[in-house]
Amino acid sequence: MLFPERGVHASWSFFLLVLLAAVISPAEIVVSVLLAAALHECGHLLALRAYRVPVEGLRLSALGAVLYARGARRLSYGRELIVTLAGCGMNIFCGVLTALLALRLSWVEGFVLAGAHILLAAFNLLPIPPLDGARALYLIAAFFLGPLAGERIAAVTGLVCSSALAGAGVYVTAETGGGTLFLLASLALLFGAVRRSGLAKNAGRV
Amino acid sequence: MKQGRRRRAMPCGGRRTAPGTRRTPRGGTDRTPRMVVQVIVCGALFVALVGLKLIMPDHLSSLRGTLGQWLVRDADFVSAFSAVGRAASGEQTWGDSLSEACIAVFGGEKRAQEVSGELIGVTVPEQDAPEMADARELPALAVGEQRILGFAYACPLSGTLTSPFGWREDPNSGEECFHYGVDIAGEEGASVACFADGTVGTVGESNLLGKYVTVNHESGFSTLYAHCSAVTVSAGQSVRKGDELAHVGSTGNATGPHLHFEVHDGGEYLNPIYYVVS
Repeated sequence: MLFPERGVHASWSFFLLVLLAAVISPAEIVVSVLLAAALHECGHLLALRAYRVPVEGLRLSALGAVLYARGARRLSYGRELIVTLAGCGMNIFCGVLTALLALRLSWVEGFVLAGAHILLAAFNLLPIPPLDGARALYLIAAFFLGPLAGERIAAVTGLVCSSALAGAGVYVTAETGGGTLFLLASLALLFGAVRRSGLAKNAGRV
Repeated sequence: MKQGRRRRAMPCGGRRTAPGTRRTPRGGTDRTPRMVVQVIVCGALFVALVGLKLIMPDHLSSLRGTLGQWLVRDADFVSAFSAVGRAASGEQTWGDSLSEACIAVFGGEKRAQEVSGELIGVTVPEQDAPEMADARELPALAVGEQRILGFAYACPLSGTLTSPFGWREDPNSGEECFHYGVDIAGEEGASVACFADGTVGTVGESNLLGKYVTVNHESGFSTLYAHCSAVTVSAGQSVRKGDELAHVGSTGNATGPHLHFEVHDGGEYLNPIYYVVS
């Protein structure tokens, strides 16, 4: 069994998001994004396996997928950084490979799949918790300045970037009269960054 | 209890959960039935939606349209993803691709220029005459008068003109929008011929245009052929007037098989009616 201890856990939000996407999005977009997300997790999984870290479980939600691997705490900053970036690395590798194949074979759908890979990688590299970019930033900062400073730098960067993104979301939605998806996504990221920084928790106590 | 960062189990997902947000029970045994229930419920919802689509296609289409409009408006993710993919392949620059992707996602108004109308069963109207369907002012990039192309050309498809170049009511939203090309009804699978000698520019697919192909001609002119069932040429290929480019279809936002044909002069949209009426 791939995840012997915790198994695979999917939340309602994951199924409902897929269902919603299937209703409003073209099938090739849904399939491309799911495939890119699956390969992204495979990238993390392969890196963990390479460092002989047992993976206990997989959790799927509307926010994405999470691999549970308690053994990862034993990894050095450098190795954990590799594990963290392996998902995006896998997406970029698969994206470029698929794009080249699509160009060679005049495979129209291949460009869409390649685009899904590249965009998923770019999105995950944003330095906003809980995305990979934020974790990578923390690991780099922690390596040079210590864990506490790393945590603060990652939290502040996440807040600044997610606030800017949310502002852009409001502006773009108001300016173009477009849909609310970008705005909702940017607000969700802002919420994630606030929670990560502990502001939401403190506010709850008040 | 708050644990140290390095001592916490590390979630390595593409998007991770915030620390300490939720504790899931250990062991997979009690999770399997729950997941089965989730799959069954969502499967039932999916089957119900498919059933609704078969029984009441108009209602489901309306629901889908409402949801889609609220969430993504006219965003064309297929085009956006495809543009990024093309940049990754080296076919076009990242700057052009990102610009194209931004227009596809956020530039709904410009892309709404082409939305197919109710084409089924429409017969030849008076609009076959090369006049505008509406006397209102043209959008900035639309050109009303005929321009001399300076090269030989031919009609890409013989058939009935079902929607002219000009203002019209968007059949989906009901809003007035400008139709930057002409729609020519044709048999599904009929051959679409190249308008004039040139080089195939882009072979792509989008939500609105379906499968489409563009051809670059002399002097900065280019043509677009959309809603095809299949495109039979490749980007970069040299083509001659009358060569087969594609087959008529109803892909993208179309309700019946037809060809959407546009003639561009650089960034301007010409009225194709001057060049397709025999």
